Amino acid sequence: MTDDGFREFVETRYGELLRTAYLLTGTQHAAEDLLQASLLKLMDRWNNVDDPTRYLYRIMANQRVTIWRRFGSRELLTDVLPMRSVPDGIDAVVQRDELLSALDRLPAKTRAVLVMRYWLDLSEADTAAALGCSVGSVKSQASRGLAKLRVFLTPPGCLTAKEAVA
Amino acid sequence: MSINELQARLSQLVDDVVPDPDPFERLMSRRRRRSRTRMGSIVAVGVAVVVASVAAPMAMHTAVLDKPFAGYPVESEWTWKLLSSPTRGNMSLEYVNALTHEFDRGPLPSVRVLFAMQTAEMTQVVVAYHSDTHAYVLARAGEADASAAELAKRPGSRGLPTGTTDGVPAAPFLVTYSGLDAVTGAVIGLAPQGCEISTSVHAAVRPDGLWQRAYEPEPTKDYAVNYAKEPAEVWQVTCGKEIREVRPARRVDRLRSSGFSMGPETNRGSPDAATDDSAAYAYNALRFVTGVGDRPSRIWGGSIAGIDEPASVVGPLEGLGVAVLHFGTGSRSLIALEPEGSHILPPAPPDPAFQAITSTAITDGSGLIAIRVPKREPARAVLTDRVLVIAPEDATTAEALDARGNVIATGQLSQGIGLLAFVIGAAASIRAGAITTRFSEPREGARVYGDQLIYDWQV
Repeated sequence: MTDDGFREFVETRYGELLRTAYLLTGTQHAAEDLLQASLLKLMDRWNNVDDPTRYLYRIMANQRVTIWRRFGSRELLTDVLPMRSVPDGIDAVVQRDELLSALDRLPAKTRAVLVMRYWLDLSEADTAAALGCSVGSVKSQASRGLAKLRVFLTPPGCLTAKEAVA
Repeated sequence: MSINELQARLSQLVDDVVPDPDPFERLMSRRRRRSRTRMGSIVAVGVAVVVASVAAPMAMHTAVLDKPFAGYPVESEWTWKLLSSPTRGNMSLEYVNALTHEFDRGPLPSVRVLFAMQTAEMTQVVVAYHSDTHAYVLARAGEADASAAELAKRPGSRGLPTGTTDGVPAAPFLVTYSGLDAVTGAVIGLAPQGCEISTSVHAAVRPDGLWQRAYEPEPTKDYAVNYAKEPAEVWQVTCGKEIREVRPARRVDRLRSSGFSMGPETNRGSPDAATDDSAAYAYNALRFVTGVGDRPSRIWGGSIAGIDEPASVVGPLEGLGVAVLHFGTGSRSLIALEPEGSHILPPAPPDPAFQAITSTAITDGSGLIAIRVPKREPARAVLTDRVLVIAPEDATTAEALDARGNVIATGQLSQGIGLLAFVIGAAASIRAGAITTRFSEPREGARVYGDQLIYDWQV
């Protein structure tokens, strides 16, 4: 199935979708993998899906969450350093790496909530629908995720006592 | 962190994330590859039932790693051919299917069992994970009766012989180590289906200074196994009529040795003990990898113009053999295989533990030794245009001669030691005083002890 607008959808939206996949995964080729696998799933259901973008986000987010659940929240060492996107200045690279590292330390679902709420600008209800959870869960995950990012991105000496032990 | 700040930083994070061209075509290519692989597995299953599992094929599952997949770029169609080759080894289809299931980590990327072998001592597997663009390879080993699940849970091969760390890049001729430890294990070479591997176990330096090496076809054709307890082998891979790769089974560009034994020594020059020891380590490691060399002696130690660290030459004090010129200390060495500016061999990841550098040469027992001076480059050592000449102490000049006997370089010797400078491959012999020695070296590409290595996987 390659007609009925699917090709146009891929060609016009790929860059934007890839950036979302990048925020969900943290490396460009992991993002490509996630996106392509999700697009192939979408392709199989293209004629039955009303809102392909939302459906795709749902596939992508759930795929990341499923993988994370299967292999746990434990820290796993990779054999290879993840590839990052092309660097510009040193400071920008450091900032990016800090944020990527901080995102990597979040549970996948929390990360997906943050990406959907604050990158894709989805409403709490839409985020909940995409992730198949309650609005209350989205609210709490977003709140906790922001708090954790704050802790992860703050130098230890700058934390309040409460944050430092969070 | 405020929401606005997070949004700004997320936006900054993806600034440079730009897809490669033709996303739709790449997507369709992935779909076709997936379909082909599935179909290939179905066909292979039928064949395996008939031929009774010497090369058991595998069922294909899509898979994903537990972390963002971060393999190495696959740049050769030959590598893809290897990754789509049937599973090699001697395990049943059922076992290979179980391995595939156990190593499968989810929907992405794909996992392939490239090799599965059971011996009386152990079971070894080599598994590749790949996406459409990247891949990496794991090797695992367990006890002889290890189940697929046990192998999948085993830790990687860290701490094993140099160059056998886990998660290596896929390559057209994939060479990796799988073992229970550094002694109970084997180097496994996997060539694309249809290629043939020949093995050379015994090599010798002829009196004329050239190599004598004979290759025997591997009965397993497109894969070879060199057990740790076996003598060193050199593998030659032929695809069609083209020799695509010639290399020692064991990695030769960076070596680590756990010990050495020195023979009688000379006191020529001003030896530095730490450098001599390091040179002996390198020599011993090279002996393990290439199968040539004997207990080394220190031939000379001193300094070379333009290099601010001691040099050491070790090798046989007399007779045919091989020698090394070495700089640095410690048991880890980078071996200079290619000329400066040449990049035939695939680059190795940097490892700061390897600081000492070594170059190699044949000695013909004439009393005159000539060895290329090595030089450090990031993550490797290379050969320079300078040649160290060690001649009898009364020799005062050295000359390099081309194949027609023309002098192409001249150098002064001090107490029989000096340098010549000439382009790699230009000279056929070196003369100092009354002695002339053959100086045979390939003009291009990689070599060890003058023996040509080949890496040519251009399609």
